[in-house]
Amino acid sequence: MLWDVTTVEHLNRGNMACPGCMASLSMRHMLKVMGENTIVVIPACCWTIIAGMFPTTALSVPLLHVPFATAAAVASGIKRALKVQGKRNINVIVWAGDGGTFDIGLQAISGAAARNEDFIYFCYDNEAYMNTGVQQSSATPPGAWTTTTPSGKEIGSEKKDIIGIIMAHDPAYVATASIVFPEDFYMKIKKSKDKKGFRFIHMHCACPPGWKIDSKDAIKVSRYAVECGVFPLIELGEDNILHKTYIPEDPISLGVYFRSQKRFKDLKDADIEMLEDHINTKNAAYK
Amino acid sequence: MEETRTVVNKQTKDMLLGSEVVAHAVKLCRPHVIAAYPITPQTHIVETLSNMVESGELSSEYIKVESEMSAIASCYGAVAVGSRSFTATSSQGLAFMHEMLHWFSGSRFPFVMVNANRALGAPWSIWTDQSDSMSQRDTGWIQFYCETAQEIMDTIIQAYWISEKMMLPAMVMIDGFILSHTMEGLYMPDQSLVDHFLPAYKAPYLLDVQNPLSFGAATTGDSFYNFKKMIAKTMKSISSTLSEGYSFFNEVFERQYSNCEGYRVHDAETVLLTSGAITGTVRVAVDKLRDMGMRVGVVKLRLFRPFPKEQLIEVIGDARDIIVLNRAVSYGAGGTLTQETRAAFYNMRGNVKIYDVIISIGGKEIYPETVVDIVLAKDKLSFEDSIWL
Amino acid sequence: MEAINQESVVYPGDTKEVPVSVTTTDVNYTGNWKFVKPVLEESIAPCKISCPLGINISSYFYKLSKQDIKGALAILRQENPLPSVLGRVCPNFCEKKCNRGDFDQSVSIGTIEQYLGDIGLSVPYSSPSKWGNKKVAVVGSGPGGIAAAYFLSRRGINVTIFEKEKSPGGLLRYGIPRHRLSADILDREIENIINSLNIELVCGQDFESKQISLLLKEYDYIFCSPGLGSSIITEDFAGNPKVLRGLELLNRISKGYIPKANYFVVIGGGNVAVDIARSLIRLNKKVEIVYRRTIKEMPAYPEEKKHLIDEGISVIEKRLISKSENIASNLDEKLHLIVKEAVNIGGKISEGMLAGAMDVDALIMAIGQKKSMELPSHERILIGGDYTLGDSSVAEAMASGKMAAFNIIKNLGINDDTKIINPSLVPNKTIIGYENLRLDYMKKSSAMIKKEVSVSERLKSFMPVYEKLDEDAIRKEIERCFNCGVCTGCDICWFFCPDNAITLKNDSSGVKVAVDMEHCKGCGLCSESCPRGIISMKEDI
Repeated sequence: MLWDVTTVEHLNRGNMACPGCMASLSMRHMLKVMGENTIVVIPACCWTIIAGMFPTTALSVPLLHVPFATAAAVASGIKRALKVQGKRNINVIVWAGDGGTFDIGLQAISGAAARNEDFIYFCYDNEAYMNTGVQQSSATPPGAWTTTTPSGKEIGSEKKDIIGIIMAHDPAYVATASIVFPEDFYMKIKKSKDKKGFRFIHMHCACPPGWKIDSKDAIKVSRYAVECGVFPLIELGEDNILHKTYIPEDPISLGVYFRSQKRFKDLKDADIEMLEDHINTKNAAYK
Repeated sequence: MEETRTVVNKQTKDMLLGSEVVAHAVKLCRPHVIAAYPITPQTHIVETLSNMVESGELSSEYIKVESEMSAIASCYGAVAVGSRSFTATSSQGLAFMHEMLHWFSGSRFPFVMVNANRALGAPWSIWTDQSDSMSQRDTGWIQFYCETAQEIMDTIIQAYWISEKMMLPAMVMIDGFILSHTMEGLYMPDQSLVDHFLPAYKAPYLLDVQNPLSFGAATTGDSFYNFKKMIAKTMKSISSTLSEGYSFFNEVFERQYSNCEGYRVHDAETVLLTSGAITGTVRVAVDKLRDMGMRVGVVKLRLFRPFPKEQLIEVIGDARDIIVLNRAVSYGAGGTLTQETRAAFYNMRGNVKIYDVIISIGGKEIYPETVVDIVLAKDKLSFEDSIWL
Repeated sequence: MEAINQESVVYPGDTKEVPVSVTTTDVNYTGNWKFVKPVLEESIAPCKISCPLGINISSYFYKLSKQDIKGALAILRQENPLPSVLGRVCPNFCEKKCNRGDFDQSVSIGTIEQYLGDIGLSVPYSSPSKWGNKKVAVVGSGPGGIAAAYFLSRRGINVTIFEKEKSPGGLLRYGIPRHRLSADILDREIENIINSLNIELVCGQDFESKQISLLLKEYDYIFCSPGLGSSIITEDFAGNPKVLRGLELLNRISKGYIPKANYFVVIGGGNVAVDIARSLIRLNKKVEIVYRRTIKEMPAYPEEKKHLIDEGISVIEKRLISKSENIASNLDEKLHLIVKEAVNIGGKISEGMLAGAMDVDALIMAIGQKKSMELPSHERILIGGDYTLGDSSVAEAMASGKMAAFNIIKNLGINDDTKIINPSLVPNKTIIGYENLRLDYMKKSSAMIKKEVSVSERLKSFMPVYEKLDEDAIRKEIERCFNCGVCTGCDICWFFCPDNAITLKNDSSGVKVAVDMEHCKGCGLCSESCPRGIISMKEDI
């Protein structure tokens, strides 16, 4: 085996994910790190359906489906209750989409982070409300087609800096991750697992139908995102500063990333240049 | 009942604010997790609980959440792993929780929440009526309405008991300000009595890494219909189960409860129907009317959901006129309690007139004289419309 | 196929009343969704196609990476009788086609072949069981003959090799100088074959053409690879005692002859020219090469040309020796050579202006080879090696011997279950090109470079140019092979399946994963992530 990972699986076959779903792949590997002593809380998102219809379940760990805005609050309650029951070695995690994190779920996240509740919040970001048929969220990047931004999301309206928002709450750990960089992904989740307090992992997850790519290109496009700087891999260091954990040896241009997906077909070259400046400025802030 | 003893069977006589009574009742029920978000007039509940936690008197996890939605959501999480939980709210907060109320009952998890009845804006109002809780009557929760401080103490304990037996969440209502912010005497039971009546919560299903399951997955028509049918079935058996519970409660605490309590109804021709703390005012009116020679009585509804149809009809007896005193309105239909009462009597007993009186909204004062006047004028009152004062 | 396996759906106890799920989603036959399906099939690497012997390079490299020396050696010996020799002298056709070359640098396949071959020198072959009483005579024990004898005897046929010289090897011994291929290595490799495969070797037996025909009485088949044997001398220089033939001189030097002359000029740009020049400086002679084109255009192997320059031999480019001015008959008189410019018009060389003169002790011609005998023609006489191919590489000569052996085996009616040399005869197998590979998870690195003995040191004798191979570097180089078309069990496909529809198998060879077709949705991520191009998506009918 190229990467030394466990062969134990917690993701059952036959889940309802679209072919090539990176959110499904990310869940599979997250659970390999977190292990069987994990309780998963899922608000309304693609994973509500991916997890299977009643009476089936796609996971071999306990799973609680909760309303859209409540995931972080429910996870807080679970962890506190387990503390009272003396069950201290059970991992509690939230697995939410970008809609339930950047938008409707933000209040509960802010509260849980401010209280330094002891669980890991995983946001799998496919950059729109995919489950309801691809409507824009505040995680949708400028230029992207969605059903509510049919000619591409306005260039000025940037993707929310969720890492910045979480940083404002002084979290125990925060990081970005992408499963197509496996060693980095595993390292960050292992690190989170060993820490206590509010931990937040923001994962980039390609969505073939929503991004208008072939399912087989999901890995390639996800790699482009990191290699061109659109989705930098960073983490919070022991010095409480955000550090890059991967610096591309041969960086590629933003154009390669954008032109690889039909959702960006209306993006003009001049726009790409402007976005390039913006992204470079943002990434320069990370050490 | 009148007592001269200060200690009855390991219960201490004390005098507390309604909110403080809630806190003490909750403490005696030993929840693992309490979520707290302040809203007038429930604030003293969370403050008292906070002091108890700080002093070590109460060993629950106390989560100071950032909204009511998160308050009930975190309690939901705690119950899902098998821990008894508690939160309290009122009007706007209860409305904010609406989505979660359905989710809780749909999940078939037990829970007790105290709601300090308060009017819903707009415009802003902090004064009492029952519109907040009564407009949540479709959510599948058990609903109790308290009249006195003693009832607050006892109903919370009973609510945990019935909720955990039937696996449906329960709401206990106290009138905002009138109960929450007034002091009354009551008997405070000893912990051992409460432990005897209400053992630790043993969840029949929960999130457990040893036996993994998933809760709440998307469900298609046939199964969903079946789940809701189960809730309806459960609701139907709550009334009778509660009666057993009240007998057991009486054994332990020497206080007998029922779902509807009558006052001077045995030969009444006219019965007033009400709930909550205003029952005291109405009893004064009834006494006045009786002095005038009228055969009048009052029935207090303690249990609102499930609606105790059979017990209500029995208590009302042969009265021909029922004047329902509403403090909640379903705009476009009429007083909420009236709708429920008329539905209960349909095809059950003919020859009865049920009047729809909106006695108070938003804390409008109720005087015994007002009630007397209504009863005296009843024959001139319109039958088809709601009667607004 | 139905959408869901109803029999396996479980409603636990009375929780049919409560929205609790325990049945796994395995009951959903999501395999129904796909319209393309992954097909996992090992295939052929370009190195194997380019190799004249069709060695399964990516496979034996895989075995080496698993420390399975025995397995690797077996795969190598399947196609190649002389790996220690070839690892040293082959121009490595494989390295030119190596897919790694498009990534960073080609794998040093020749070096690893040498490493593995050397290990094999002390590993005898298991004696094959005889197949009937068939006998084949092999004339010539050069690469072609040895290869034919090897493949025939491994099939259980009795083989007798007839060699005209005193020792076997042909040009391997009597052409290629010792600093390129030591006698020790050559002896041990040939002896291993002769001894453990029970081949009869008769040395010192030179045949004329009609004597070969007589062999037909005793032998079922004859294979002849006598080589070309003789260097060409042009008319102008024929008969001149101071003009020597390159190939013959190499032969004599290999037997210990040291020429008395001191200053040599060699005409020619091929391996013979380079070999003779480099041999002479080791005998402390002065040597220059005159070549009609540029060094770059010299057909000698690039490696040899580099050593030539390093060892200080000057090459006079774009010059022709047009004639010698006097015919010197005694040793003390120099040979006066007229040098002319070589004019290249449209690729054709012709004499240009006078460019000077050279006074040398001897002129060596190494401009090509010709046959030294005519072989008889008969349906039971097969011919190969340089005789039929012209002046070619050792590997190609061996390949012709191998082909002849297989033809004989077929004609004798023996069931041959070995893999055929020419992979294009294997139906429906893709050749894995660079575009079929997916190398995102491979790290760049440079190829291994063999360490050379210093020039001053090595010119003292005919010692090997290269030092002993560094074990650590060998190990790293083995890892650099992408194993195109061979499943190495890297499990990257398993890693990237979003539906966990790939199972790992513990097999030591073949494809080491299995796809669960009942649940595979046909997303294609496995095919896009396989580094070696083993997975392709085909229509799912």
